Amino acid sequence: MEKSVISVRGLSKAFGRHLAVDGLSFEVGSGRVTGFLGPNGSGKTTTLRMLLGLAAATSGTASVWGRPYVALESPSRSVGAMLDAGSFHPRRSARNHLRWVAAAAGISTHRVDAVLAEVDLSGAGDRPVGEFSLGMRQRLGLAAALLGEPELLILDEPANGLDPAGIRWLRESLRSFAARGGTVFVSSHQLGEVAQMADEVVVIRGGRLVTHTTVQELTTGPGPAVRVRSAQPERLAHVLRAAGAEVETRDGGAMQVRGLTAEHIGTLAARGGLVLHELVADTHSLEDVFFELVNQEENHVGIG
Amino acid sequence: MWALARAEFIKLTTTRTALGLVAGASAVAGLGALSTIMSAKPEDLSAAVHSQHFFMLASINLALFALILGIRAFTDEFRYGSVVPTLLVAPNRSRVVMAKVAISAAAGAALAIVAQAVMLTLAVVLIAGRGAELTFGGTDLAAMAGLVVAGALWAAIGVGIGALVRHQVAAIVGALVWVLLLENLGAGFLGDAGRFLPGQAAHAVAQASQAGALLAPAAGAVVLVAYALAVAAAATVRMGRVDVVSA
Repeated sequence: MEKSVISVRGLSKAFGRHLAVDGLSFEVGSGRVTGFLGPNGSGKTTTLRMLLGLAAATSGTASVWGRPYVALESPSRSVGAMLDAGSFHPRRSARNHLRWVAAAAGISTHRVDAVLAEVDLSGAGDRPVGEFSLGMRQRLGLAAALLGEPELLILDEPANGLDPAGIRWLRESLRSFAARGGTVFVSSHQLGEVAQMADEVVVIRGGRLVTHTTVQELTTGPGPAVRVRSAQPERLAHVLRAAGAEVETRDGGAMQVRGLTAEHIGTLAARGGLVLHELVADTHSLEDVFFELVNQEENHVGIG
Repeated sequence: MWALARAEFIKLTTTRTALGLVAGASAVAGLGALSTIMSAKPEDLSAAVHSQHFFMLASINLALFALILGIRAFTDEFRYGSVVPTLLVAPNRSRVVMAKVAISAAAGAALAIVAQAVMLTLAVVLIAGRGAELTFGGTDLAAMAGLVVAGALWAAIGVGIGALVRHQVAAIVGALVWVLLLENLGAGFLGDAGRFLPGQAAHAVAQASQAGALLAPAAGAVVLVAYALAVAAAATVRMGRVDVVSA
């Protein structure tokens, strides 16, 4: 089995009587992008804070390459992390922010201009961060994370505040980072956003693990349905069932079919000389999948 | 450690906070000289620097500015959330506290040097203008150096207070109330023991002789260093335990 880059075991965090993270366990493998999904308030940021040594776990462990983050020799050179797009002194320039981070991490100042260019902020390097838009702050946060040329990126909601072009840029940056052998662990509350960049997703709700699966498995789900309307609904239903489909008949000759593609249904109808008035593949949207997942979990375990 | 100190130096010099505090301290020290010299009798002005009223005022005012300089080393980070990247780069929090103490102490000393230079230049001119002559002696040099040492230690104490309180306004208001009010009340109330209060110890280091009964300068320095170490130790323990959450 491949070695895990991130390992979270039985991790819990209590704030008073409220359990923000509740016995969470998962592993993140190397060389891929793993999304960390959950609705707002599901414990993602708290988990990342414990993983990065910013908050103490009530119980359980979180480690990178088998060690707690705080025990890493030079953390910025192996892990690039970004939490909170607002973590800058508003009157310090972007370049000066990166200069102090580089100095603290013992990284050459040459990297400062390199990462500013990488995140497309070269022209804004000397402006105070207080003048930046949220999207620019996200880019600056990412630049700081990239300073030490890390092997692992841990990013908390990096797409917040980015416009569609920015999101595409982020997606491409993270994908190419993983293609070069890097590992990315990126949180989001939007499945659609993550599905396009991640290979795997860890989904949590109420501080508990809902599922850890590949994006492909998640989006395939129970199989897409096809909406069909025919002049001869009974005969068509019979033909489709005989072909192994699950058919649910509705009023007005309509039916919902699972287990066959729209093309397959069309072919079967033509062979049987049956007239179709409608043949539409109902795509199962990613957001639907996400809500189904977290709601199932909610019904199952109750809200933490 | 050197890397963290460099990072703290860059932080300190890339916003206008420190510069503003140095300018503020210089202006207040200068105003202190202006007001006390202009209102004094000329015959009282031909005296040693450390026995002048403005020197005593400077010992109080510089304490305040140096304290705020130190306090802001941490409270700015909590206020703007930059404590997150700080601790991501340097997860060893006690080293972060040490680096901040070292750099803030140096900045506190620099603040005291600049403010004193402004104050003394003004004092020399004003006193000469009033027909008196400011006298400089060996004790004055030691007293001036003492004011610089006190500036450094006040800033170091401020760093610890900032880490302990974390809330900027609360920490600064608390420091103001202490230096301007409680310290004097305490000194009056405690009698001889009042000499061990931090402000009185700082006056002792600076030999601000108008402050009344003080410890010897060296003893004052030891007491003030002890305060700085105690506060830094408490700050290290506190920082080691605190969960860093969003700004």
